[in-house]
Amino acid sequence: MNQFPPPDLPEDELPQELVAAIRAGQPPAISVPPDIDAAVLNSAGRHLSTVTVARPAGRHRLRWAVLSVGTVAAAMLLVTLLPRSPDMETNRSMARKSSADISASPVVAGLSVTADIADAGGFGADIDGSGTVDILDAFVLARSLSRPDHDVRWDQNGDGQVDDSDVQLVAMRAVML
Amino acid sequence: MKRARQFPIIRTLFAASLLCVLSLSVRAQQEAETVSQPPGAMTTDIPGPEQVADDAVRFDAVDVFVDAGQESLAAWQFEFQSRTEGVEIVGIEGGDHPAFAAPPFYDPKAMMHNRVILAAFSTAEKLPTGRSRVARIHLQLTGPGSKSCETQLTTCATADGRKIAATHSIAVAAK
Repeated sequence: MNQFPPPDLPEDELPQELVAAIRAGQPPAISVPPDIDAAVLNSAGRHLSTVTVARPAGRHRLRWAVLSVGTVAAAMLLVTLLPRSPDMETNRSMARKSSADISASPVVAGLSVTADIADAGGFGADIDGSGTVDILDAFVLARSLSRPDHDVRWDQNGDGQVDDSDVQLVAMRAVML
Repeated sequence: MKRARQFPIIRTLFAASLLCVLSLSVRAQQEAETVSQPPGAMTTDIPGPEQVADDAVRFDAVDVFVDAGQESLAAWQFEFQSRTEGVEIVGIEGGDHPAFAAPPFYDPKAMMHNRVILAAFSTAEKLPTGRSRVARIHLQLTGPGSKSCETQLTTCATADGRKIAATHSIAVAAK
């Protein structure tokens, strides 16, 4: 099986007298009979099976407590340090709208405003790009109605055109509590 | 060896928790300052009789004025919030100038509550300048004594959409 050449032992390069002297200085190998070896192993196994490792319970609990607190703290730190954008706040407040809120919402100029606001999904109401949705967004949109170059992203209710109903939706979003 | 690896993790997490507490306290302080002192906010008292029952109800209205100075006022947004108990908003009216005679935009959820955001704009040719009443808020007041309310003019703009530093005031409407 061994197809490899024998290792290049250093003792081949040493003087034979030195090798013989070293081998003569080594103690004879001790051989343990297998039955004694097995008896020692069995005895050690029995002994170790009865031994329980006494862990310091207080320190263990403290470690887990610190780990748990640290993990929660790290998560909170992430949440704290991550910047909050006004759009995110707006979308979050929109997401909090319950069905009761929707049923209590207004009808302005014959439009079902809240349903359309909910459909709008919060994107595109910041017309002037100020970072917040206020009445100036509705004003900018209203002024743009007289111009032909509407931005299609300003279509708030998804009816394919930018008109007064979209202005109403943006204005209602600006005053929404 | 194992313990030596665990302690740096624990120290790191402990430091992270300290940082977290520190940053949370800083943010809470900033938010508290924001809530207590919003820029441009103004507190006004609505006087009321002292010798009435706790459940006595009366109705008052406050007029909202915006002073745009020499500029023409084309858009405005305003927030009203009562700071005392027993104040409920029951109605909103428009202002004096034809450009803002229609009731402003507001969330109907504000009705029978103590906070409302009002806003309006006009694309009319003629716009008010100087001090102009832009809205009236009808209130139901319950109980004795004056009621405190906080108001803030959030934004104002001219006809070309330029923001202006207008001022605002409120006053109890004449009956």
